[in-house]
Amino acid sequence: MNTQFKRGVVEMLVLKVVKDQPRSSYDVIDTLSKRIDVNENTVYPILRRLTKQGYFETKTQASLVGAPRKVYSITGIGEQKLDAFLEEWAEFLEEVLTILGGDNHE
Amino acid sequence: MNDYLQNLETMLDRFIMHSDEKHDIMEDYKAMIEEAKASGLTDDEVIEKLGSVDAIYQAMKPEYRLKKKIANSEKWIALSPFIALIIFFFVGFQYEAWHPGWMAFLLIPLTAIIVEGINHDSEFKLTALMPFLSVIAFVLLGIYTGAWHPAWLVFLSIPMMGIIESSKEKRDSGPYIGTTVFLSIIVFFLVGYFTGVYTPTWVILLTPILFDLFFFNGKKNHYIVGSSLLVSMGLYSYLGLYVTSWPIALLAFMVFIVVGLITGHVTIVINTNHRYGVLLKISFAISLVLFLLLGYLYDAYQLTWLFVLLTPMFSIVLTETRRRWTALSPFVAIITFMLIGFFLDGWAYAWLVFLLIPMVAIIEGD
Repeated sequence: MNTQFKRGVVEMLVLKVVKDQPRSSYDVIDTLSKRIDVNENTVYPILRRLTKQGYFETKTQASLVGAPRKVYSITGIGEQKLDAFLEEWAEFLEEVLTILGGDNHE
Repeated sequence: MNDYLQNLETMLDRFIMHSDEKHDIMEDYKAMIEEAKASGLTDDEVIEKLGSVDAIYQAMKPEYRLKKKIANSEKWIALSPFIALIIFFFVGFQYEAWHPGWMAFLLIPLTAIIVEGINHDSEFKLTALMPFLSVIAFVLLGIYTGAWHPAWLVFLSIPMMGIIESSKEKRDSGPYIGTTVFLSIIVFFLVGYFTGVYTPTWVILLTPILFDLFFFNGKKNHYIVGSSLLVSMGLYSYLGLYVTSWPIALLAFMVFIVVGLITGHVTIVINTNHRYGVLLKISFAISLVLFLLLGYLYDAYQLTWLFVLLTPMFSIVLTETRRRWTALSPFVAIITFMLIGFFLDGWAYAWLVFLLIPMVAIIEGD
Protein backbone atom coordinates (compact mmCIF):
# COMPACT_ATOMS: atom_id res chain seq x y z
CA MET A 1 0.00 0.00 0.00
CA ASN A 2 1.16 3.52 -0.74
CA THR A 3 3.26 4.83 2.19
CA GLN A 4 1.71 8.29 2.19
CA PHE A 5 -1.76 6.79 2.15
CA LYS A 6 -0.88 4.48 5.02
CA ARG A 7 0.59 7.35 7.05
CA GLY A 8 -2.65 9.27 6.54
CA VAL A 9 -4.67 6.31 7.81
CA VAL A 10 -2.37 5.83 10.81
CA GLU A 11 -2.73 9.54 11.60
CA MET A 12 -6.52 9.16 11.66
CA LEU A 13 -6.30 6.04 13.84
CA VAL A 14 -3.94 7.73 16.30
CA LEU A 15 -6.43 10.59 16.65
CA LYS A 16 -9.26 8.09 17.18
CA VAL A 17 -7.61 5.93 19.84
CA VAL A 18 -6.52 9.00 21.79
CA LYS A 19 -10.02 10.43 21.51
CA ASP A 20 -11.47 7.18 22.90
CA GLN A 21 -9.37 7.63 26.01
CA PRO A 22 -6.22 9.52 27.03
CA ARG A 23 -3.23 7.26 26.50
CA SER A 24 0.53 7.08 26.85
CA SER A 25 2.59 6.82 23.66
CA TYR A 26 3.32 3.14 24.38
CA ASP A 27 -0.39 2.51 24.89
CA VAL A 28 -1.17 4.11 21.51
CA ILE A 29 1.45 1.97 19.75
CA ASP A 30 0.33 -1.17 21.58
CA THR A 31 -3.37 -0.59 20.85
CA LEU A 32 -2.79 -0.03 17.16
CA SER A 33 -0.27 -2.83 16.63
CA LYS A 34 -2.58 -5.38 18.25
CA ARG A 35 -5.35 -4.62 15.78
CA ILE A 36 -3.66 -3.79 12.51
CA ASP A 37 -0.38 -4.40 10.76
CA VAL A 38 1.03 -0.98 11.52
CA ASN A 39 4.63 0.09 11.27
CA GLU A 40 5.14 0.83 14.98
CA ASN A 41 8.11 3.13 14.56
CA THR A 42 6.00 5.58 12.51
CA VAL A 43 3.42 6.00 15.27
CA TYR A 44 5.57 7.92 17.73
CA PRO A 45 6.72 10.60 15.22
CA ILE A 46 3.08 11.02 14.17
CA LEU A 47 2.01 11.38 17.78
CA ARG A 48 4.65 14.06 18.32
CA ARG A 49 3.72 15.93 15.19
CA LEU A 50 0.02 15.93 16.02
CA THR A 51 0.88 17.25 19.48
CA LYS A 52 3.00 20.02 17.96
CA GLN A 53 0.09 20.90 15.69
CA GLY A 54 -2.14 21.31 18.75
CA TYR A 55 -4.32 18.24 18.17
CA PHE A 56 -3.17 16.65 21.43
CA GLU A 57 -2.16 17.96 24.82
CA THR A 58 -0.05 16.10 27.32
CA LYS A 59 -0.03 15.85 31.07
CA THR A 60 1.97 13.76 33.47
CA GLN A 61 0.08 11.09 35.31
CA ALA A 62 1.23 8.95 38.22
CA SER A 63 1.87 5.36 37.21
CA LEU A 64 1.48 2.12 39.13
CA VAL A 65 4.80 0.96 37.72
CA GLY A 66 7.89 3.13 37.59
CA ALA A 67 8.07 6.86 36.84
CA PRO A 68 5.02 9.04 36.09
CA ARG A 69 3.72 8.63 32.52
CA LYS A 70 3.13 11.28 29.89
CA VAL A 71 -0.48 10.92 28.76
CA TYR A 72 -1.88 12.32 25.52
CA SER A 73 -5.47 13.58 25.28
CA ILE A 74 -7.27 15.07 22.31
CA THR A 75 -7.98 18.83 22.10
CA GLY A 76 -10.93 20.64 20.53
CA ILE A 77 -9.16 21.18 17.22
CA GLY A 78 -7.96 17.59 17.40
CA GLU A 79 -11.58 16.46 17.49
CA GLN A 80 -12.41 18.73 14.56
CA LYS A 81 -9.50 17.26 12.64
CA LEU A 82 -10.68 13.73 13.40
CA ASP A 83 -14.25 14.56 12.30
CA ALA A 84 -12.92 15.94 9.03
CA PHE A 85 -10.76 12.82 8.59
CA LEU A 86 -13.69 10.49 9.28
CA GLU A 87 -15.97 12.33 6.88
CA GLU A 88 -13.35 12.20 4.15
CA TRP A 89 -12.67 8.54 4.90
CA ALA A 90 -16.39 7.62 4.77
CA GLU A 91 -16.77 9.32 1.38
CA PHE A 92 -13.66 7.59 0.10
CA LEU A 93 -14.79 4.18 1.32
CA GLU A 94 -18.24 4.67 -0.18
CA GLU A 95 -16.71 5.41 -3.57
CA VAL A 96 -14.33 2.47 -3.32
CA LEU A 97 -17.13 0.09 -2.36
CA THR A 98 -19.34 1.44 -5.15
CA ILE A 99 -16.60 0.76 -7.67
CA LEU A 100 -15.85 -2.68 -6.28
CA GLY A 101 -19.52 -3.58 -5.89
CA GLY A 102 -20.76 -3.28 -9.45
CA ASP A 103 -20.37 -2.11 -13.00
CA ASN A 104 -22.70 0.86 -12.79
CA HIS A 105 -20.03 3.34 -11.98
CA GLU A 106 -18.58 5.72 -14.55
CA MET B 1 18.49 -1.56 26.44
CA ASN B 2 21.19 0.97 27.26
CA ASP B 3 22.81 0.46 23.86
CA TYR B 4 19.45 0.98 22.22
CA LEU B 5 18.96 4.29 24.04
CA GLN B 6 22.51 5.40 23.36
CA ASN B 7 22.16 4.66 19.66
CA LEU B 8 18.85 6.48 19.66
CA GLU B 9 20.48 9.55 21.20
CA THR B 10 23.32 9.49 18.65
CA MET B 11 20.76 9.16 15.89
CA LEU B 12 18.79 12.17 17.17
CA ASP B 13 21.99 14.24 17.01
CA ARG B 14 21.78 13.97 13.23
CA PHE B 15 18.64 16.10 13.21
CA ILE B 16 18.29 19.82 13.78
CA MET B 17 16.30 19.91 16.99
CA HIS B 18 16.36 21.86 20.23
CA SER B 19 18.06 20.11 23.12
CA ASP B 20 14.76 20.27 25.07
CA GLU B 21 13.02 18.38 22.32
CA LYS B 22 15.76 15.79 22.13
CA HIS B 23 15.57 15.35 25.89
CA ASP B 24 11.79 15.01 25.65
CA ILE B 25 12.03 12.30 22.97
CA MET B 26 14.61 10.38 25.00
CA GLU B 27 12.38 10.56 28.06
CA ASP B 28 9.43 9.33 26.00
CA TYR B 29 11.40 6.32 24.75
CA LYS B 30 12.62 5.54 28.25
CA ALA B 31 9.03 5.63 29.46
CA MET B 32 7.85 3.46 26.55
CA ILE B 33 10.58 0.91 27.23
CA GLU B 34 9.68 0.85 30.92
CA GLU B 35 6.00 0.39 30.12
CA ALA B 36 6.71 -2.32 27.56
CA LYS B 37 8.90 -4.23 29.96
CA ALA B 38 6.32 -3.87 32.70
CA SER B 39 3.85 -5.60 30.39
CA GLY B 40 6.20 -8.58 30.26
CA LEU B 41 8.08 -8.06 27.00
CA THR B 42 11.71 -9.09 26.65
CA ASP B 43 14.37 -6.65 25.38
CA ASP B 44 14.13 -8.02 21.87
CA GLU B 45 10.35 -7.82 21.91
CA VAL B 46 10.54 -4.22 23.14
CA ILE B 47 12.85 -3.31 20.26
CA GLU B 48 10.55 -5.08 17.87
CA LYS B 49 7.59 -3.19 19.28
CA LEU B 50 9.21 0.27 19.21
CA GLY B 51 11.26 -0.29 16.08
CA SER B 52 15.00 -0.46 15.49
CA VAL B 53 16.98 2.78 15.77
CA ASP B 54 17.45 2.78 12.03
CA ALA B 55 13.72 2.32 11.44
CA ILE B 56 12.97 5.18 13.86
CA TYR B 57 15.51 7.33 12.01
CA GLN B 58 13.75 6.61 8.71
CA ALA B 59 10.37 7.39 10.29
CA MET B 60 11.61 10.68 11.74
CA LYS B 61 13.34 11.86 8.59
CA PRO B 62 10.22 13.46 7.08
CA GLU B 63 9.58 15.34 10.31
CA TYR B 64 13.03 16.88 10.90
CA ARG B 65 15.80 18.43 8.87
CA LEU B 66 19.19 16.80 8.83
CA LYS B 67 21.85 18.73 10.69
CA LYS B 68 25.20 17.98 9.11
CA LYS B 69 24.23 18.36 5.51
CA ILE B 70 22.42 21.63 6.09
CA ALA B 71 25.23 23.04 8.23
CA ASN B 72 27.79 22.44 5.49
CA SER B 73 25.48 23.86 2.87
CA GLU B 74 24.80 26.93 4.91
CA LYS B 75 28.54 27.46 5.32
CA TRP B 76 28.97 27.66 1.57
CA ILE B 77 25.98 29.90 1.13
CA ALA B 78 27.14 32.15 3.96
CA LEU B 79 30.66 32.34 2.51
CA SER B 80 29.57 33.15 -1.03
CA PRO B 81 29.04 36.94 -0.50
CA PHE B 82 32.58 37.27 0.85
CA ILE B 83 34.07 35.24 -1.97
CA ALA B 84 32.08 37.36 -4.44
CA LEU B 85 33.33 40.57 -2.80
CA ILE B 86 36.96 39.39 -2.93
CA ILE B 87 36.66 38.45 -6.61
CA PHE B 88 34.91 41.77 -7.36
CA PHE B 89 37.63 43.88 -5.75
CA PHE B 90 40.45 41.77 -7.13
CA VAL B 91 39.15 41.94 -10.70
CA GLY B 92 38.31 45.62 -10.25
CA PHE B 93 41.66 46.83 -8.84
CA GLN B 94 43.91 44.40 -10.67
CA TYR B 95 42.34 44.56 -14.13
CA GLU B 96 40.14 47.66 -13.80
CA ALA B 97 37.27 45.44 -14.85
CA TRP B 98 34.62 46.68 -12.42
CA HIS B 99 32.28 45.93 -15.24
CA PRO B 100 31.71 43.03 -15.87
CA GLY B 101 33.44 42.17 -12.57
CA TRP B 102 30.17 42.95 -10.78
CA MET B 103 28.95 39.62 -12.11
CA ALA B 104 30.93 37.99 -9.31
CA PHE B 105 27.91 38.82 -7.14
CA LEU B 106 25.87 36.38 -9.19
CA LEU B 107 27.89 33.75 -7.34
CA ILE B 108 25.65 34.34 -4.31
CA PRO B 109 22.34 33.15 -5.81
CA LEU B 110 24.22 30.57 -7.91
CA THR B 111 25.75 29.01 -4.79
CA ALA B 112 22.44 28.97 -2.98
CA ILE B 113 20.66 27.35 -5.92
CA ILE B 114 23.36 24.73 -6.47
CA VAL B 115 23.67 23.82 -2.78
CA GLU B 116 19.92 23.73 -2.13
CA GLY B 117 19.34 21.92 -5.42
CA ILE B 118 21.79 19.16 -4.39
CA ASN B 119 20.45 18.95 -0.83
CA HIS B 120 16.85 18.68 -1.80
CA ASP B 121 17.53 16.86 -5.06
CA SER B 122 15.51 19.52 -6.83
CA GLU B 123 14.18 18.53 -10.24
CA PHE B 124 14.52 22.11 -11.47
CA LYS B 125 17.99 23.10 -10.29
CA LEU B 126 19.28 23.73 -13.80
CA THR B 127 16.18 25.77 -14.67
CA ALA B 128 16.78 27.86 -11.56
CA LEU B 129 20.42 28.35 -12.57
CA MET B 130 19.70 29.34 -16.15
CA PRO B 131 18.63 32.98 -15.53
CA PHE B 132 21.97 33.69 -13.84
CA LEU B 133 24.04 31.72 -16.32
CA SER B 134 22.16 33.47 -19.15
CA VAL B 135 22.89 36.92 -17.70
CA ILE B 136 26.59 36.04 -17.45
CA ALA B 137 26.71 34.66 -20.99
CA PHE B 138 24.68 37.60 -22.34
CA VAL B 139 26.82 40.29 -20.72
CA LEU B 140 30.11 38.59 -21.65
CA LEU B 141 29.03 38.04 -25.25
CA GLY B 142 27.70 41.60 -25.44
CA ILE B 143 30.83 43.21 -24.03
CA TYR B 144 33.45 41.15 -25.80
CA THR B 145 31.78 40.72 -29.19
CA GLY B 146 29.45 43.73 -29.24
CA ALA B 147 26.73 41.39 -30.44
CA TRP B 148 24.01 42.20 -27.91
CA HIS B 149 21.78 41.01 -30.69
CA PRO B 150 21.68 38.02 -31.14
CA ALA B 151 23.32 37.35 -27.73
CA TRP B 152 19.87 37.84 -26.13
CA LEU B 153 18.99 34.43 -27.57
CA VAL B 154 20.77 32.83 -24.61
CA PHE B 155 17.75 33.79 -22.51
CA LEU B 156 15.70 31.26 -24.45
CA SER B 157 17.73 28.61 -22.64
CA ILE B 158 15.61 29.35 -19.54
CA PRO B 159 12.26 28.07 -20.88
CA MET B 160 14.09 25.33 -22.80
CA MET B 161 15.73 24.01 -19.64
CA GLY B 162 12.40 24.27 -17.85
CA ILE B 163 10.79 22.14 -20.55
CA ILE B 164 13.61 19.59 -20.53
CA GLU B 165 13.69 19.23 -16.75
CA SER B 166 9.91 19.05 -16.42
CA SER B 167 9.73 16.35 -19.09
CA LYS B 168 12.28 13.97 -17.58
CA GLU B 169 9.58 11.74 -16.16
CA LYS B 170 7.15 12.16 -19.02
CA ARG B 171 7.09 10.22 -22.21
CA ASP B 172 4.90 12.42 -24.38
CA SER B 173 6.41 14.40 -27.21
CA GLY B 174 4.92 17.78 -26.23
CA PRO B 175 7.87 19.03 -24.20
CA TYR B 176 10.38 18.06 -26.87
CA ILE B 177 8.40 19.88 -29.53
CA GLY B 178 8.41 22.84 -27.12
CA THR B 179 12.20 22.90 -27.20
CA THR B 180 12.26 22.70 -31.00
CA VAL B 181 10.16 25.89 -31.09
CA PHE B 182 12.87 27.74 -29.14
CA LEU B 183 15.64 26.08 -31.14
CA SER B 184 14.03 27.19 -34.40
CA ILE B 185 13.81 30.78 -33.10
CA ILE B 186 17.50 30.68 -32.16
CA VAL B 187 18.55 29.26 -35.52
CA PHE B 188 16.33 31.74 -37.38
CA PHE B 189 17.87 34.76 -35.65
CA LEU B 190 21.42 33.42 -35.88
CA VAL B 191 21.09 32.75 -39.60
CA GLY B 192 19.47 36.18 -40.03
CA TYR B 193 22.21 37.87 -38.03
CA PHE B 194 25.13 36.28 -39.83
CA THR B 195 23.69 36.39 -43.35
CA GLY B 196 21.39 39.40 -43.11
CA VAL B 197 18.68 37.26 -44.71
CA TYR B 198 15.37 36.82 -42.96
CA THR B 199 13.33 35.82 -46.02
CA PRO B 200 12.88 32.98 -46.89
CA THR B 201 14.84 31.77 -43.85
CA TRP B 202 11.77 32.41 -41.66
CA VAL B 203 10.60 28.97 -42.83
CA ILE B 204 13.02 27.66 -40.17
CA LEU B 205 10.27 28.65 -37.73
CA LEU B 206 8.12 25.92 -39.29
CA THR B 207 10.56 23.14 -38.41
CA PRO B 208 8.85 22.27 -35.09
CA ILE B 209 5.85 21.17 -37.17
CA LEU B 210 8.16 18.96 -39.24
CA PHE B 211 9.72 17.50 -36.09
CA ASP B 212 6.31 16.71 -34.74
CA LEU B 213 5.14 15.07 -37.96
CA PHE B 214 8.29 13.10 -38.75
CA PHE B 215 9.73 12.14 -35.38
CA PHE B 216 6.98 12.11 -32.80
CA ASN B 217 4.02 10.53 -34.51
CA GLY B 218 5.09 7.77 -36.83
CA LYS B 219 1.83 7.42 -38.77
CA LYS B 220 1.87 7.16 -42.53
CA ASN B 221 -0.30 10.19 -43.27
CA HIS B 222 1.85 12.29 -40.94
CA TYR B 223 4.80 11.59 -43.23
CA ILE B 224 2.66 12.62 -46.20
CA VAL B 225 1.67 15.94 -44.60
CA GLY B 226 5.23 16.48 -43.39
CA SER B 227 6.53 15.89 -46.91
CA SER B 228 3.96 18.31 -48.33
CA LEU B 229 5.19 20.97 -45.89
CA LEU B 230 8.77 20.32 -46.97
CA VAL B 231 7.72 20.64 -50.62
CA SER B 232 5.87 23.88 -49.82
CA MET B 233 8.92 25.30 -48.06
CA GLY B 234 11.17 24.41 -50.96
CA LEU B 235 8.73 25.66 -53.55
CA TYR B 236 8.22 28.91 -51.65
CA SER B 237 11.97 29.52 -51.58
CA TYR B 238 12.36 28.68 -55.27
CA LEU B 239 9.44 30.84 -56.39
CA GLY B 240 10.51 33.77 -54.23
CA LEU B 241 14.13 33.60 -55.30
CA TYR B 242 13.75 32.96 -59.03
CA VAL B 243 10.19 33.43 -60.25
CA THR B 244 8.05 35.95 -58.43
CA SER B 245 7.71 38.17 -55.35
CA TRP B 246 7.82 36.71 -51.85
CA PRO B 247 4.16 37.42 -51.00
CA ILE B 248 2.98 35.59 -54.11
CA ALA B 249 5.44 32.78 -53.40
CA LEU B 250 3.47 32.21 -50.20
CA LEU B 251 0.92 30.47 -52.44
CA ALA B 252 3.34 27.52 -52.39
CA PHE B 253 1.95 26.68 -48.97
CA MET B 254 -1.35 25.82 -50.67
CA VAL B 255 0.28 22.42 -51.31
CA PHE B 256 0.59 21.85 -47.57
CA ILE B 257 -2.88 23.22 -46.85
CA VAL B 258 -4.59 21.09 -49.51
CA VAL B 259 -2.77 17.90 -48.44
CA GLY B 260 -3.53 18.76 -44.80
CA LEU B 261 -7.21 19.24 -45.61
CA ILE B 262 -7.32 15.83 -47.34
CA THR B 263 -5.63 14.02 -44.46
CA GLY B 264 -7.54 15.95 -41.84
CA HIS B 265 -4.47 17.59 -40.32
CA VAL B 266 -5.71 21.00 -41.36
CA THR B 267 -9.28 21.77 -40.44
CA ILE B 268 -11.24 24.92 -40.98
CA VAL B 269 -13.56 25.62 -38.12
CA ILE B 270 -16.26 28.18 -38.68
CA ASN B 271 -17.95 28.71 -35.38
CA THR B 272 -21.26 30.18 -36.41
CA ASN B 273 -22.54 30.05 -32.85
CA HIS B 274 -19.79 32.25 -31.55
CA ARG B 275 -21.27 35.39 -30.05
CA TYR B 276 -18.76 37.62 -31.75
CA GLY B 277 -18.21 35.40 -34.79
CA VAL B 278 -19.06 38.07 -37.34
CA LEU B 279 -16.95 40.71 -35.65
CA LEU B 280 -13.96 38.35 -35.51
CA LYS B 281 -14.32 37.44 -39.17
CA ILE B 282 -14.39 41.11 -40.09
CA SER B 283 -11.32 41.78 -37.94
CA PHE B 284 -9.49 38.84 -39.53
CA ALA B 285 -10.34 40.14 -43.00
CA ILE B 286 -9.16 43.65 -42.08
CA SER B 287 -5.92 42.38 -40.54
CA LEU B 288 -5.24 40.23 -43.62
CA VAL B 289 -5.80 43.20 -45.91
CA LEU B 290 -3.54 45.40 -43.77
CA PHE B 291 -0.85 42.69 -43.75
CA LEU B 292 -0.87 42.30 -47.52
CA LEU B 293 -1.52 45.94 -48.47
CA LEU B 294 1.00 47.62 -46.15
CA GLY B 295 3.44 44.79 -46.75
CA TYR B 296 3.19 45.39 -50.50
CA LEU B 297 3.24 49.19 -50.33
CA TYR B 298 6.17 49.48 -47.93
CA ASP B 299 7.81 46.12 -48.63
CA ALA B 300 7.57 45.45 -44.91
CA TYR B 301 6.10 41.96 -44.64
CA GLN B 302 8.55 41.18 -41.87
CA LEU B 303 6.63 43.67 -39.76
CA THR B 304 3.11 43.76 -41.18
CA TRP B 305 2.41 40.15 -40.22
CA LEU B 306 1.89 41.60 -36.76
CA PHE B 307 -1.53 42.77 -37.97
CA VAL B 308 -2.58 39.11 -38.07
CA LEU B 309 -2.18 39.04 -34.29
CA LEU B 310 -4.95 41.59 -33.96
CA THR B 311 -7.71 39.01 -34.43
CA PRO B 312 -6.79 36.74 -31.51
CA MET B 313 -6.17 39.88 -29.43
CA PHE B 314 -9.58 41.22 -30.38
CA SER B 315 -11.12 37.86 -29.49
CA ILE B 316 -9.47 37.95 -26.05
CA VAL B 317 -10.71 41.49 -25.42
CA LEU B 318 -14.26 40.44 -26.31
CA THR B 319 -14.45 37.09 -24.53
CA GLU B 320 -11.87 36.91 -21.75
CA THR B 321 -13.09 38.66 -18.62
CA ARG B 322 -11.09 37.08 -15.81
CA ARG B 323 -7.46 37.21 -16.84
CA ARG B 324 -7.62 39.36 -19.92
CA TRP B 325 -4.26 41.07 -19.56
CA THR B 326 -2.46 37.79 -18.91
CA ALA B 327 -3.88 36.38 -22.12
CA LEU B 328 -3.01 39.55 -24.02
CA SER B 329 0.52 39.90 -22.66
CA PRO B 330 2.27 37.43 -25.05
CA PHE B 331 0.83 39.31 -28.04
CA VAL B 332 1.73 42.70 -26.59
CA ALA B 333 5.23 41.39 -25.85
CA ILE B 334 5.76 40.07 -29.39
CA ILE B 335 4.51 43.28 -31.00
CA THR B 336 6.61 45.49 -28.71
CA PHE B 337 9.64 43.25 -29.22
CA MET B 338 9.38 43.46 -33.00
CA LEU B 339 8.72 47.22 -33.05
CA ILE B 340 11.64 48.06 -30.74
CA GLY B 341 13.87 45.64 -32.63
CA PHE B 342 13.09 46.97 -36.09
CA PHE B 343 12.61 50.68 -35.52
CA LEU B 344 15.15 51.29 -32.78
CA ASP B 345 17.50 48.44 -33.66
CA GLY B 346 17.10 47.50 -30.03
CA TRP B 347 17.13 43.72 -30.21
CA ALA B 348 19.65 43.67 -27.38
CA TYR B 349 17.19 44.96 -24.84
CA ALA B 350 13.87 44.39 -26.63
CA TRP B 351 13.72 40.80 -25.30
CA LEU B 352 13.12 42.30 -21.86
CA VAL B 353 9.49 42.90 -22.85
CA PHE B 354 8.95 39.12 -22.60
CA LEU B 355 9.35 39.52 -18.86
CA LEU B 356 5.99 41.28 -19.08
CA ILE B 357 4.28 37.91 -19.50
CA PRO B 358 5.08 36.41 -16.07
CA MET B 359 4.84 39.86 -14.45
CA VAL B 360 1.31 40.42 -15.73
CA ALA B 361 0.35 36.86 -14.76
CA ILE B 362 1.57 37.51 -11.21
CA ILE B 363 -0.16 40.89 -10.93
CA GLU B 364 -3.44 39.56 -12.34
CA GLY B 365 -3.18 36.24 -10.51
CA ASP B 366 -5.40 35.19 -7.62
